[in-house]
Amino acid sequence: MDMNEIREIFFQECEEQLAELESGLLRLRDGDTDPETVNAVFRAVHSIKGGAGAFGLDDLVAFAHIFETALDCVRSSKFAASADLLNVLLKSADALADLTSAARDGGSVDPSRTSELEEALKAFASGQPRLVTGSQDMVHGTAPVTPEPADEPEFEPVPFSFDDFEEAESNASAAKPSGRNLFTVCFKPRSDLYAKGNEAVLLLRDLAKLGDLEVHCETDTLPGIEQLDAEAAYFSWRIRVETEHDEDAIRQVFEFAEWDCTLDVTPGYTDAASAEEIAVAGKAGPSTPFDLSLLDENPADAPVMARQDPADSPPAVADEQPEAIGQEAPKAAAEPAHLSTVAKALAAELAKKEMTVAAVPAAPQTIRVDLERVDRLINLVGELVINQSMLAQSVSDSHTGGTSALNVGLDELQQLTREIQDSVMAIRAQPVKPVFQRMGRIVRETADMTGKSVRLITEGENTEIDKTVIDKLAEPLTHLIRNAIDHGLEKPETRQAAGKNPEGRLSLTAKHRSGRIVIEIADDGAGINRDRVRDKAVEKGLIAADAKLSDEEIYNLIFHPGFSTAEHLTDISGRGVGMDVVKRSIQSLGGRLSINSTPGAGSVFTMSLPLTLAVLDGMVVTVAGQTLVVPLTAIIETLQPCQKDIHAFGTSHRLVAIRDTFCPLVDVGHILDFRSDLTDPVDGVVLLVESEGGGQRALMVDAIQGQRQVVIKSLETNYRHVPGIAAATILGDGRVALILDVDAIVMASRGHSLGAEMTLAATG
Amino acid sequence: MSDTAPRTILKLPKVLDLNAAGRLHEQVLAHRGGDIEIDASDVGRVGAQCIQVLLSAVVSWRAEGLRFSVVDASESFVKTLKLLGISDEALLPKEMLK
Repeated sequence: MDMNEIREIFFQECEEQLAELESGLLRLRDGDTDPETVNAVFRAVHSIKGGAGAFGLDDLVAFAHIFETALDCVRSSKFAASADLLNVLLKSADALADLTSAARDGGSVDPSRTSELEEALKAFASGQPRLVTGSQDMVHGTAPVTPEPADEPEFEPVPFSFDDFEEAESNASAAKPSGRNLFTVCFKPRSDLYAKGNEAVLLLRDLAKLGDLEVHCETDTLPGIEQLDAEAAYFSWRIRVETEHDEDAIRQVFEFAEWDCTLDVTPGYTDAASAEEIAVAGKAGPSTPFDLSLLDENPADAPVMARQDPADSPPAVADEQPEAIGQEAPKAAAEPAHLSTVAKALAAELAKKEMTVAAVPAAPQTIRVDLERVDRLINLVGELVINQSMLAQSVSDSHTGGTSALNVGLDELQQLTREIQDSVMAIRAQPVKPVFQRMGRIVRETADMTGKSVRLITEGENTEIDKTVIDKLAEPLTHLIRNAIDHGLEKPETRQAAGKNPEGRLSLTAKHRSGRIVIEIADDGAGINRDRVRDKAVEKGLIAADAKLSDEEIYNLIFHPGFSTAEHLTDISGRGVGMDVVKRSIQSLGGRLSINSTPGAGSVFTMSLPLTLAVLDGMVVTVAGQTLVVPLTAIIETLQPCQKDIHAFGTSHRLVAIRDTFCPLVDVGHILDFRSDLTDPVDGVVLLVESEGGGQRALMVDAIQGQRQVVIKSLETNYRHVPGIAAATILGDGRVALILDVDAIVMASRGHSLGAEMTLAATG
Repeated sequence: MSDTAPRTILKLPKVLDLNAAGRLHEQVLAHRGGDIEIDASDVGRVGAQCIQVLLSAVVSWRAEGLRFSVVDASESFVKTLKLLGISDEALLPKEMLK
């Protein structure tokens, strides 16, 4: 595996982490208080940062680091994840996604955008979240490195006895060398920390290498000896650190233990804040000033604690270290005598990392496969289905009836073929979740641009769709969502005046229905103004002024190229992309789009997509000597009408009585121009079908040959688009059969010519 | 009570890491009911979990009016206690913690 492949895997993983990040943030916004959600969000950013560091993606690392620091404040309950903070975090997640894309594709991200977010994140991380007055307002200004405790209004003093500590602090403060930073570290390990081979002693020792410590151990949770679990973690620590290093250096000490402990690093030193952070009440033991000489190790005992007498120790190096060496230089590096110590420390660190890695539970076994390979496999399975069908046809045509063994073998072959096909299709099936998650960002951005307040609700995210469809879903969904926010939802003040929640609701739902995938985009806005749409259509000459149109037909007018009822073109609606393009892209997936709207209550755009693009169950019928395939999912029932059931309607229309209702009769052969005259329904068979728009039609065909699984071959790719025909297939006898587009036929039966309907839907 | 109870000396091993915590707990529990002296002279490495066991024992012994003391702590042992911010005088004589 070369470096490019590894890099590619990293970016693929980044996508997963970004999805995890956004979904976690959205859960937090929705009131999820599970600490694991915060941890998951933190881990996602941390993983991206780690990988980006390995590939030298500095911009990504820098932003991820600041992002991570702010998230850590939420994780350690420094402050609650307020709506303002989550707004910034979500925008930061978007920026992180853009930085990742830029790192992968070589683009760039507007530095002003990231710097604005960085400042906002830093402000939170510094404990001075001065945001936010509006959804788009960010904090400007840089957080102080060492804010004075007295300047931190967030930390209300609470009654807490730390007499010894206060004394120690005042002493320490008096002796505090200028230019050194003061931090409070609250550290509470979980049992996992020890189980994974980390040791609080080693962490504290590493921390002590950064500067002077005052360590207070909280032991109140320690049970009696009988109740004690020897492998549990009861101690927690509050440590005053005085150091020349920055907060990052302190956090790095805990880097490989951070999943298994609660860590809070606060600039400055405040008893009240610390008490709050450590979240334990009760008495506190005396603090223990820590002497640097305790760090000296006896090489023979490494990495055990030092045995050396403090009196014999070499002088502590930290205070003598020239400042010019900078924070990156290890203190011991200045003295050759300490090199072995440093080497050992690194070795110990490495050992800790390895142990941590080893303790991580194994991930589910998955492999990444190039989509082309899967496509090739699917094509082969398609050929297998056709061959199996041809074989069955040959046996049938031989009129021998075949031997019993041959028929059993053919049945088994058919069953196996179907199982193989199902399994292969399952490989390509993916949940729609990633696409839905991407829509969250579209909603945020569009809401910002339009000044509207929108809440996106997603349902059925785990509904699986063919990978090919998923990849092509994003574009039409984006347009529909932008359209719903820009045109559908009212401004907050308008909504309020109408007695609605100022925050608009946009729901995105995916579900399986009748062997298809149905995706709904519903808003609770004002609904489509039918009169306005109609007037506009008359004005544009699309319909006659006296035309009688059903609601569905009026709604469908908005799919006409260039049709817009908007008074002014906005940034959103003026993109030159109309609903016609949306409909066309959905049709190119073998899908359909329909609209339902209620004035004042909102609109629902329903996208119906085939479950798979490769194979469908169809009914093979003959019409005017041609063989056609009607998708089984569209057929409700089949029947042979009697003469008494047929009723004339107008001059050229006929209805068929089916139980208590009348259903328009559609001669498929006539509508497809296979024949000029209408045939007598009594001579044929009727397929009762339901279109996506909800209307039922009785499609008249000459005869039914049987039900069969067919492999879909794109007509557009191999020939060209044919009105009324969805695709083609190869039958068992080797002939090409056309697959009927039931919706187009139903639409055409409503008075539009088939060509006109398709032009309305498919031209740009 | 402490005058009549049998006194036990428990010598701690050189390494008191995570693996030793369970065994130390069992050993300490086995001497419940009597005064105990802990010989920590050999301790070269001690982890937080073993300190937890010892400190819990101190509290439990003390609650019953029994003695639980560390009699001969190694430098490593003392330094670790200091590093961890543990300064219970029952665990170590006060002068050792200075």
